Amino acid sequence: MSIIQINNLCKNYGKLQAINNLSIELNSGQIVGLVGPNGSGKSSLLRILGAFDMAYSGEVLINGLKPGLESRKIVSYLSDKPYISESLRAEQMIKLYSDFFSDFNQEKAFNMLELFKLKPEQKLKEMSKGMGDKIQVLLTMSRDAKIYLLDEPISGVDPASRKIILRSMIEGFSEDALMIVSTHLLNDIENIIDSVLFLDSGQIKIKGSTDDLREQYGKSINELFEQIFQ
Amino acid sequence: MFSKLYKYQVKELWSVARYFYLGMIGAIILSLLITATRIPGIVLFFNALSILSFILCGVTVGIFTIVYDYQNQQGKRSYFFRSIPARESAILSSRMAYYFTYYFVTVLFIVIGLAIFLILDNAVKMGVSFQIIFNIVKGFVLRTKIIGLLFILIIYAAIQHMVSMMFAITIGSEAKFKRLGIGGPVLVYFLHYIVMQIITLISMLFIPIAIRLPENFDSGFKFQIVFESMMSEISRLLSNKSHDIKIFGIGFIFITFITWIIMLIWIYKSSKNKISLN
Amino acid sequence: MSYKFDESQPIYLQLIEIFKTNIANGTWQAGEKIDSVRNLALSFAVNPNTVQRALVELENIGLAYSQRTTGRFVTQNQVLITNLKHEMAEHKTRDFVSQMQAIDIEQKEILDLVQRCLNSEDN
Repeated sequence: MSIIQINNLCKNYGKLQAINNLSIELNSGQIVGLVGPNGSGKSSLLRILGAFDMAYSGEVLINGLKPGLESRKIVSYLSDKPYISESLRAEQMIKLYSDFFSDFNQEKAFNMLELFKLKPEQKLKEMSKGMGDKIQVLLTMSRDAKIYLLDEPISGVDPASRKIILRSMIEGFSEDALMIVSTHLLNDIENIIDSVLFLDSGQIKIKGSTDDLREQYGKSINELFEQIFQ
Repeated sequence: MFSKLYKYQVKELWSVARYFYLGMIGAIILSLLITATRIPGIVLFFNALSILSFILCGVTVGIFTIVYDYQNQQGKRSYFFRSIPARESAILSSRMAYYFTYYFVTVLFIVIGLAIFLILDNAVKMGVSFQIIFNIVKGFVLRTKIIGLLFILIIYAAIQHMVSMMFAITIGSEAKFKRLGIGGPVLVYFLHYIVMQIITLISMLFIPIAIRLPENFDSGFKFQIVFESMMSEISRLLSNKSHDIKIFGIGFIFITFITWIIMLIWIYKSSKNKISLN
Repeated sequence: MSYKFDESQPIYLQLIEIFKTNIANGTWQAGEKIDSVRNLALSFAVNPNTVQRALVELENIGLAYSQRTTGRFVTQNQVLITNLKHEMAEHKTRDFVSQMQAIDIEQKEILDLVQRCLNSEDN
């Protein structure tokens, strides 16, 4: 059974249709790139999978259950906005996460802190924008979750930090997990994703393994993306 | 999970609220010092100023209590708070405990502070010493009935606020109010406020339980509970059989309890099944 | 270490080429333990599954073998490694020759060119 099953999912914001009759199954053990232009429904889809938005129609099953308490136990979600109190120190945030998430791996978190060259006693508000983003990636990836949902983890981040964030994604990913990464910066992540979902107007336009698509079209996923959407 | 959630919410607000509580204590101390100078003009002016800043600090804490809850439920910290795998009952009860803690502490602070200001003010006017003031306060506190009643009123107000705010924030953030933004909770607040007022008024008038007010208060606060509705008293008044309304309907108290319970169940269900973050 | 891939080609094929080169030039010695999938993925900044796929391919052609508990090793069969070297050399030479022919260089000229390049490298 697929860890994520979506059948005929629709999501409206008033008259605007963000997701339009979308159906897909996703298995564990892969990193999936969720790409599409702004407003194509990427964030809406991730929010629904993360149990942050229950106002949708259609069927969404995570490990066989509707998004809710049970799915929150196995889903680690990274929002595209900052969402952690700025007055906390890095080590306090790690403590906070391990208080609330039983699958939080403190050792992993402190290792990544070192990788990111961040000090445990540093406060979020004393960090630059890129560092704040890194901390959130760190906290999200330090959970030994079954599903990771990362909404635009590398946008608005300088190239050096981008590299480290990608690194921590590879490091945090385990073989029995599913990771979904939404982005419009395909260039940077195309080497680390197994398969890709092209979303357009709330529908899946192309899906497939990245290596197969490269072979089939003879171009990079990024070029393919540009060809389709321009 | 309840205690972790509760501690998290209380600590978050405490990092801001403590400064306002300090401000309140500061205002009282300032007022005490100024009163000690016994220069009438200055005392009056600065006491008015410190009462104003004192109340402002208290009100600010009250507002921050709501703002922080909103941020946890809908605002910038919601993607953390709502990702916590906690039972809805733990989330709801921790929110209640959080609100209750801050409202109770703040209202208590304000009441005690105002009492001090009032006594100081009178003391200055009458020119009495602090020893006498202290005795007056002691005498006042010892009248436990009044203190008890005050206490109940504070708790009542705290619960009322807590339920109203949670209701407005949670229901006002459902997907159907999404395009109103922060206007959603505000709209729900006013709607529920109007409905509550109507329900209160109706239950006050028509439920046949009331207290009969004494003819005068010379003999102290002595109430008698009667099983009549205010409406019957009013109709008697209208048909000139009586000259005055002497009973006060208290049926609304029970109805208020029931509405609180209904609203809490409503909040629980909405928060469990209809959450829709921005 | 960061590696620039040709993104119009499947990554796992390019990884196989890199691994083969490592074995051919002795960066990975015969019988040596190969780094873990995760570490390789980190150092090439690619998906762990892609690394896995490339390594399995390497096993299929006999250049590597797995031991259940201790991990994955480079083959100890020197013949295979020598063959690999020759195969790669031949392959690259063919590519070179066909590129020369594409710009209409004659056989003698090609040989001269190669000789000259080798000489200049000696100096």
